[in-house]
This record gives sequence, C-alpha cells and structure tokens, in this order.
Amino acid sequence: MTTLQPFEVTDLLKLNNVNLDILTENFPVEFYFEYLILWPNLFFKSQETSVDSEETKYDISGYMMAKTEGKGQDWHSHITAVTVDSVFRRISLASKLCNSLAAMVDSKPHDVNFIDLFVKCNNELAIKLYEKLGYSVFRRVVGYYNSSEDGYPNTLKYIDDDKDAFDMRLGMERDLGKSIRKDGRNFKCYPHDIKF
Amino acid sequence: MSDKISQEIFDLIKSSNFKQCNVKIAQLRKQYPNSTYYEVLELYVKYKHSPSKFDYNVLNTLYGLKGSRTSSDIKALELLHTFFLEFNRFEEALHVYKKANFKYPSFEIAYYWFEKALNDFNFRHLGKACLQLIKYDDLKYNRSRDYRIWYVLSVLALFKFNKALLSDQEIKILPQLAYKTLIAAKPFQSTEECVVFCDLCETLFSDDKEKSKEIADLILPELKTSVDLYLKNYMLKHLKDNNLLFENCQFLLKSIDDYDLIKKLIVSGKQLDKSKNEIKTLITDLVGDGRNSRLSALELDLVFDNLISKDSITFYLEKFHNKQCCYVDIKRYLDKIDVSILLEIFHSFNDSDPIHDSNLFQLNIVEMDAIEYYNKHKNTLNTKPKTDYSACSIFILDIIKSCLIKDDITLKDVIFSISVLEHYQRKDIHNFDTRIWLITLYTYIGCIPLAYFHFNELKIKNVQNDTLDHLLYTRFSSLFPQKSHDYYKTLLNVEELFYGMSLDRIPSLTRIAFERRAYSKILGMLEFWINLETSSMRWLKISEMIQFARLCNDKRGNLLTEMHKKWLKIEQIKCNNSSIKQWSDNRDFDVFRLNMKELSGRKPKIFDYMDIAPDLITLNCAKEFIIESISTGEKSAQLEKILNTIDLSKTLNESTTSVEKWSFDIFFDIYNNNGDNLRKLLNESSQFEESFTKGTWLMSHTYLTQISTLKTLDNLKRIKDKNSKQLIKQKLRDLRDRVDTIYINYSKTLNVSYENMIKGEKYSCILKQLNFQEFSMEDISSSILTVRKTVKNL
Repeated sequence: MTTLQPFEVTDLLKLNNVNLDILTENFPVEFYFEYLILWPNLFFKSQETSVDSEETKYDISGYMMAKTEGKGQDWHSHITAVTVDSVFRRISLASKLCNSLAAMVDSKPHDVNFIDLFVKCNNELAIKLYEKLGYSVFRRVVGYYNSSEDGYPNTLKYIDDDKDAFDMRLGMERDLGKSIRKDGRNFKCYPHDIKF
Repeated sequence: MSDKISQEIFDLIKSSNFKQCNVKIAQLRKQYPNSTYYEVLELYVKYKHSPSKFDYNVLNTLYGLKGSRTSSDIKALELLHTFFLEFNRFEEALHVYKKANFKYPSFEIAYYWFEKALNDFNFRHLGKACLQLIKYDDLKYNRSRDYRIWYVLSVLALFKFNKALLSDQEIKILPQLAYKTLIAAKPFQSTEECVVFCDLCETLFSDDKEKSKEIADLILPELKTSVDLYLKNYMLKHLKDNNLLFENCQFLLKSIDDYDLIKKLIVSGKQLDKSKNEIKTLITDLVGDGRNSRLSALELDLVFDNLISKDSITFYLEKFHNKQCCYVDIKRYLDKIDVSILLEIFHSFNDSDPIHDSNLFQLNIVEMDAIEYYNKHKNTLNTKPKTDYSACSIFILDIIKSCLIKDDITLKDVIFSISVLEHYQRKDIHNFDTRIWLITLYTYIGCIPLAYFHFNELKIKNVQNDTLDHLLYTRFSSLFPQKSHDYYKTLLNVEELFYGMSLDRIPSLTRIAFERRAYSKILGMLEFWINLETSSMRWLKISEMIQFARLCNDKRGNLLTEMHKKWLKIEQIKCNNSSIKQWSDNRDFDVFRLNMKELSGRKPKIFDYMDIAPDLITLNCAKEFIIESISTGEKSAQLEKILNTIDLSKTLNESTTSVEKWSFDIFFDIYNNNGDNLRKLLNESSQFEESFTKGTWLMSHTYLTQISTLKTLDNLKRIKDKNSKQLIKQKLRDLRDRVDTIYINYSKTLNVSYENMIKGEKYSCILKQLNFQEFSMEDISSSILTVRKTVKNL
C-alpha cells in the first residue's frame, strides 16, 4: 500500500529503517537541505499506509533524491540516491520510484531530455534493473569510484569494473534517441567529462 | 569604522583585557563622536567588564521598547540585538530593527530585520519585516511578489508554532490579511507558490468550504501539465466532485502508482455506479500488475462488500506470500479476513522460503515455534548474499524478546540473549535489527567496549547520531569515562561535526530556501531546526560532558560558557513559540521493532539505562549550573528560572536513579541551605550497596556518580567545615579502595550467571536446539576488566 509523498526535512529523523542499511549513504544534513531547496519536488518518499502509526513511526519504505542540471541538449535529471527499506525490497519499489521520477521530470516545469545515473560496472543486478526500466549504458566513466589512493585516472586505456562507473541514461521522447548509444559500454570518458 | 577595529575590541573583551579595551574605546569615541555603534560598543564593554554591576536600565532607557534613541546603523543594530539577547530580552532585541524601520525605512534594514527574526524564531517579527519588504518593489526581479509569499509563510509559521500566544484579534485578522496579501500575487507562477496558497487555505481556513473549493479550482489545471505530489494530496483532500475525482485519479495514475489515488478512484467509482470488475480492470490497466493493484482487490472487496473474498487474498498472496511486505499489508486487513482461509491459501504455496514462513509467523497464525522455524531455514543463511538481511532474524529476535520483555530480567536472561545474537550475527553480519539488540544488551550489563564495537559496525553518522546515540551514550559519563577510547572520541566529533556544523548552517540554508523559492519545505525546515536545537539527546550529552569534566578534574569553564549560550537559544525558542514546551525527543526506539501498542507504551526493563524523562535533562543542566553557582558564589536568575520550571520533588522521585537523586540533593543543599545537611546526605551513600552486588550498568553508574560528586565536593572551596571535608575524603578513599573488589565480584557474578544458564534446562535446551552452544565469556570478562581499569584511574 504505497503512496508517494514529498520528502520533508523532518523525515530525516525517522529514516533509520532505510538508512541503517550497509549500502545506503547517510549524507550531512546540509546535503539533504540543498536538494530540498533546489529541487523540492524531485526529493520524494514512498510511504506505507498499511503501517499502524500507533505501533511504529516507520512508514517510509524508500526515497528518491534527484536533481536537474545541464544546458541545451544536456538538460537532464540525475538520480543521486534511490533506496528502499529491506522489508519492502524485491517488490519493484525502486523501479516505481524511478518511474515516478521519469513522469515528474518529463512534465512541466522540468521537461528534461533524459535521466542519468551512475552505477558500478560490476553491479550486474543494478544494471539489469535499470535496463529493465529502459536505461542503457551511454558511456563508461573510468576511475569514477577511485579512492584518494588510486588517484585521478591519467589514461582511458585501463579499465577496472570495480572502479569504473557506467553512465546510464533514459531518454525522453523529446530527446529523439540522442541519449542512446549502441556501443555505450565501449565509449570511455574521464570523471571531469561528466560535470555539467 | 573598520571591522578590524571592532574585532580587536571583541578580542580584548574575550581575553578580559578591559584596561586596553577601554583605552581603545575612548580613542574611537573621540575619533567618531557621532557614531552610535561606538556609543553602544562602549556600553557593551562596560557590561562585559562587570555584568553584575551593569545597570540594564541605561540600555533599556536608550534603546528598549520605550527607548529614546533609534539607530539606522546596521552594525549598531546588530550589536544592540546581541546586547539585548544577553539579557534574555528577546522582544527588545528585534524591536530595535522595528523602530529603525519606522524612522529610517530602507530595504537593507527591513532585510536585516527579516534575517534576525528568522534566526530568533520570532515569526511575529518575521511577518512584520516581510510586510516592510513588500514595499520595496524591485521591478527587475519582481521580488515584491516573493515577499508577499514570505509574509504568508511567516503567518503560517506563527500559527504552527505560537498559536497559543496569539490574541483573538490576531487569530481573526492575520489569516485574512495573509489571504489578501497572497491573492494580490495571483496568478501564481510556480507550483511552490500554489502550495503556499493551498496550505494557507487548508490550515487557517480549515472549515471554510469556499476556500476548499478555491484550492480544487486552482490545482486542477496545474495537474494537467505537471506531476506534483503536493498538488496530488490537495486534490485528494479538496476535490469533492466524483466525476472530476474519478477522471483526475485516472489521469494521475497513468504517471504515478499511488495507493491513495487508487483508494479514491475506488470510492468515487462506486459513487458513479461503476462495477467492481470495471474498476479492478481499470486499476491494472493504469498501474500494471503490482503490489498496489493486487492490494486494491482487497480494498475493492471492502468498499463494495465489506468482506474480503478468498479470491482477492489469493490474488495478492500468489505474488507476495514470500515478500516481507506481506505481513504489513495483510495485518492491515486482518480483522476483515477469515484466518482459516488465509492459512489455507498460505499453505497452498511453496513454503521453502524463510520469508513465507516469517510472514505466517508474524501474523501469529501458525503452530510452529520460532526455534523450529529457524532450524527449518537456517541453511539459507549460508547461501544468501552478504548484504542481504535474512528473515531468520525475525525468529531469532522473537526468541530473545520472549526472554527480555519482562520486569524481573536476570543476568542469565541477558547472557543467554547475547550468546544467541552473537552466534546469529556472524551468519548475518550486516543485519542491524539484531545488532541494535546486542548494543543494548552489552550496555545494559555495563560492557561498553563491546557495545561500542557493535555500534561502530553500524557506521552511524550525521543525523543518525541524534536518533540513535541513546543506545550507547545515555548517561555515558557514568558508564565508561575513558578519554583515549574511540567511544569518547566519537562523541566529541558528533558534538562538533554534527550539531555544531548543522546548527551553524541551517539558519542560512533556511534563508536560502526563502530566496530560492523552495516554499513547500520552509515550515518543515523550521520544525527540524527547532527539533535539533531542543533535541533531548543533544542536551543530555551537553550536561554529561560537564559531568565528565568534573569526574576527570578537567577545566569546565568553556563548556559552561557554551552551555549558557546554547541555553539562551532554548529560552528564546520557547519564549517565541508556545508550542515548544519540552525537549524534542528525536530518539528512535522503533528501531527495536517492538510493538509498543502491545506493550501499552511501557518500555521494557532492558531499556532502563536509556530511560530519561524530559525533566531529568533539565535537572541535569540545572545541576551543572548549581555547581557553577556554588563555585562563583553568585545566584543566577537563569538558574532560578530553570528550577521554577520543574517539579523538583516529582522529578527526583520518579525520574532519577537513586544515586542521581543523592548527588543532586547534595549540591542543591549546598546551593540552597549552605550545606546544612551535607554530612547526613553523605552518609546516605550506604544505600547504594545493592547496586554493587546486583551489577548491570547501574553498578558503574552508581560508583562513578558517587566519585564525580565526591571529587567535585572535594574541590569546592565553599565547604569550610573540616569534618565535612574529612568525610568527603574518607568516602572517596573508601570507594576507591573497593573498586577492584566490586568489579571482580561482578565479573564472577556474570560467569556464575553464564554457568547457571548452560546448566539450567530451559536455556541450554534452546541453545542446543539452535546449535549455538559454543560461547565464551572471555570477551565479556575482558570488557569488564577494561571498564574496571578506566574506573580505577579516576
């Protein structure tokens, strides 16, 4: 019984069921504020109406944090975080959050050309999920997940599935297929190339 | 009048170098005889030099509510604001801006007024400042319309946070004025502006059908072009026409799969004489075959027949019987479902999945117990991905909860639970549901280093520190006061990196939210800001830090100065906002996934160490102010005010541990009765013997609270009586002499409890059934030894 609701700052105080997850990042408060201020309607949550509020305050089952950026053809939406409470996993909730974002940014006032996200090249499960949602690999960002010890990549020759990211994109109708590359996996770029 | 010169003066004040400060001020006054800023600064220096001798009336006569002077100098206004705040004169602090605006109206002053009012949480002044800003129309950016909306937000904030202090006239007039102000900004230029209008109509005209219709009329055209969740909510609430509802729900469901929309579609569809099947097909067509659409079959049954059919349950369960959401979903409809049918359907599916069984188990409709279920599915723990959480934890947690949720909990129960959970955690390493319990259990028995290990594994940071630190850091100064341990270092970082930095940035971020027109988020931001400023855990830690400093004989002047500053902010918030009565309890207890409804709201005994009543936090702060006051020999108005807000005897009798009460009584007696009962109270410490024999967290807590109390007393010059002084030293010696024995005995008691557990029938049988027999007490003993060594050094 999921309803989609705007994310409020006060929700940060009742998010442990989602954010205690080992793979979910907990950002500083200012980071969440930044998204709420600049892209207030692209930060939203899935809320479970079946949860008994007298039993628990945990009714947030997941959330989507996204933004818009770029100019001209590059005007797009970027998914910064999409995460789901373990109790509500494997029921396509993350897909639902992604689809809802697509509907939002494909309408006014956003009208973006495409949505993009970054995923580790070895995260097969996630790549499959996004492909199912219509995303495809646009390019490979070499050294996107490099640590400070790894340093900034100085060549595009060497690839590492654990350090590189796929820039995956979903084109809107108005994009006229410009965000789709058949050989996207072979198209390599540096991390600075993805700044908008 | 450079900022450098001002900074020099403030640095001299900070270093208490008033001689040089006065020379500097005299020079500046001579150089700038007409400067209001230096005139106020001179006054401020006089105050800082000798606060008790300063005559507030001088300031009040000049710049107070009926003051004779008005300044338009921004720096002077800023200093006057700070000056008045230091006297807890919150109204006067902003009144200087109001007066300046009246006499020397300018955009700049109005904007500073707005900023200060926002920082002070004074929404009445915020509104007045916005009304001034509206007058300055910037044709290029058309900001006047923005200030109209800012004004409405100020009124909404005023009603949300301070309604009780509004006059009848204000309650009547302000909504009308806000409405008129906003109407003038029509047509609205963004969804954010529409949201403010809807919020105003919905909140301040809640019974007004006309306004409700206005909301519906405004949002319907918007919904045709943009997908916005606020607008969706307003539509669901305010659109009354079934045809329009049915049509718009359909329209939105094409874009978003939302159960609230589905429910409204069903209800409006029924009103329009659509058939159940017609609606069912329509929902699947709109949102596809997913959880919401399958659940809607149950909702349709309820709306049309008030009874849920077997077909609908089957339709839902065939896809979700082995998903964890199933328990939550079915529970919602359980009172309308025939349990025997539910069971029959469940049994028709493959039950090899632990989630399938965990759903049945949680719905409480099965005969197998948690141990049998765990054993049935334990092999899945070996094959699951590392980062997945196993449903087996549900069975494990049920086993330990049945031992722990009771009033007569024993060390044997706790050690049994620890041994079960430690075994389990190794197989499901990232499971935080089980790890949370381990932290609690270890803290309950006083094994803080082990509790910290598990806490650290959870990588808790940022806002999580405010919601989860209570698991480990409640009463931290009397549990494990070890400066060199990460346990303490982490806590220091939280104060600085989380509370310090967040509360520094939030005011400007909230102002930016106004500037960037993120109107829908502003009331939430204000609420969050207040929640953090008044956070009970934050304040508990602030007072504990000072207690910790006393325990270590560290200087605590800076800590006290900071505490006074922060306390002033709390007073300001409470003064300006009638809805803020107490601390904001942001602590998360739901993380234990206990059904508090079934427990009738009573927290289990295992949570005793985290049991902190709001008044106890106030009492702890008061205690530190009392000790400060005893040392300086000065009675403070702030302290008297705090003591007047709490029911001392009730708080001491109902919310403190016995040693906390004893400690407070001692200091309060010195503060209030000049220590007439000191010796009698000191001799009452014999009552704590039981805590030393019983063990648990109470043992360290009792020992260390006594030590910190006695050490503080020992350092107090105010105690002149020789016999009392000797008695304090004697008590300290006695306690310290016993520390090894106390902890050695406790370690033995824990080992005996473990022996009894493995010898006893009940627990040894469960451990055997779970194949969890191997458990060593070595880690616990070593952890207690670490605590003992720490305590011994104090």
